Amino acid sequence: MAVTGLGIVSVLGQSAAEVVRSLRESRSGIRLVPEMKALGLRCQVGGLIGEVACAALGKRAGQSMSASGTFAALACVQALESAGIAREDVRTPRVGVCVGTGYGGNGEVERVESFYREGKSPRRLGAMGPVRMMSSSAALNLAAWLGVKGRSYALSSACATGADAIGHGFDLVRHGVLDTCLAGGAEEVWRAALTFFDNLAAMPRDYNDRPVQACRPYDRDRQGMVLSEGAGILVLEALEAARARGATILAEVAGYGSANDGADMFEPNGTGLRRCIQAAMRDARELGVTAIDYVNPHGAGTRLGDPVEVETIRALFAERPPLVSSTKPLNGHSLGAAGAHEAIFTILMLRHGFVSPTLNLDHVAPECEGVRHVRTLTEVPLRTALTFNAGLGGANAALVLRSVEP
Amino acid sequence: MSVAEKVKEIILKILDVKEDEVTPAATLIDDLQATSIDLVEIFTAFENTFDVEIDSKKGEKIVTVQDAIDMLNTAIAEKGA
Repeated sequence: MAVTGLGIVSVLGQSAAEVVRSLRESRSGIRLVPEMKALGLRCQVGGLIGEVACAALGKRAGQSMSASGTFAALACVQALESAGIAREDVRTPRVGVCVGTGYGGNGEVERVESFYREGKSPRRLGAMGPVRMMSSSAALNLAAWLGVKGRSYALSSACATGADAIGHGFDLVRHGVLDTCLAGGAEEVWRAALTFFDNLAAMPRDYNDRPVQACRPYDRDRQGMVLSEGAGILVLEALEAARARGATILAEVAGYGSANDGADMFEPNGTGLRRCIQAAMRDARELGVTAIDYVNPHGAGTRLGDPVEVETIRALFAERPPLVSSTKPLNGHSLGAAGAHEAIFTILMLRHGFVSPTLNLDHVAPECEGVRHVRTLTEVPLRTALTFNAGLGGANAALVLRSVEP
Repeated sequence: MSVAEKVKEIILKILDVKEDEVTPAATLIDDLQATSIDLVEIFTAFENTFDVEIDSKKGEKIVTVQDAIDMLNTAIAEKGA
């Protein structure tokens, strides 16, 4: 399966070139967020995109898209451009959209709440809300805006959303349901997410004066994840079809697996993660992938999640241990967009032959030892990579990616 | 800014039309291609901007840009009375 296009809106940049620079130079997008301080949250750092230039999307799109939909549309413009696909060529039943969000357009819910709190007439809210807040908002806005006529929907599985959406797009194309799928994830940060994750004690509290150091996967002093937002979109096409139209193939999706722990809503036990990686590797083996050079793990920096991932990687890849690094210290945890962001980071590292190190990994925690943690920028040719996400609700998804010979 | 100018500004913000198309005689639905949801958004923006209520009876009578301006001028006058 060919990835012929990619587009990204993230705190590491809003183009592939910018993101490559951020990854190479470990330029973090995590900052102090004054609003989190004003809310009285214990964690006051995050990765917010801020205002984006979206006039090019048109007036109607601007009204019916929430922030996450806008991020997805801007990423989609880049993705189609890099794929060399004209807007008029996606207006067919053979093209579809599979773009998930973890939480939908929740900024809209907060707008309604503040209206009521201020005693304003509900009539003054207008009627755009439903299409801005529905969980399929990003996917269906994209379909309407682009004129895509094939299967178009959202897929949502907490932090695994982006990887599952890409994996599902991969399935739709490999089974011949679609010729082309625009697949990925999007997320906008909103107050309730910040509040509840803060209450979960899943976000760092002692780094508000050093935001860039806040997210520290596998480190002795890690305190949790840092929330962020954005979108990532891939253009997926069958390899033969992509070659036939002379497209530049950025990478190949060689495998996909998804599995649930079937146990706890909060605590990962590693069983689903192990099975989803095994399933992705089974796919990839059929295409001749025998080893993985690099793993971009979930690596959110949580006390419970990190050791489970390390143990899983160690056990599954004991024969030929891959390099391992998390990009979350730089990009934060963009929830429903995370899997798509990290698939894009991984593709860019495959293409440019380097591994961006796990920032802030100053002292590897004893429970996180046993894998080849990358702690400095490593220039290395990469042929194969695995990226996975493990989320709330026991959700896990993994993608195997492979570089393509020119 | 006059009521007419503000009305024009709101319509331009919501509808995908050019400034010279928003004439007083232009009809919202046929000339300016407003959909039902556009009308809701336009009337909501009128209510928020001028702090008046536009019930469905008043809304139904608005066909052209001038109708909207007239209705708003009347509603503003009634509010001040």
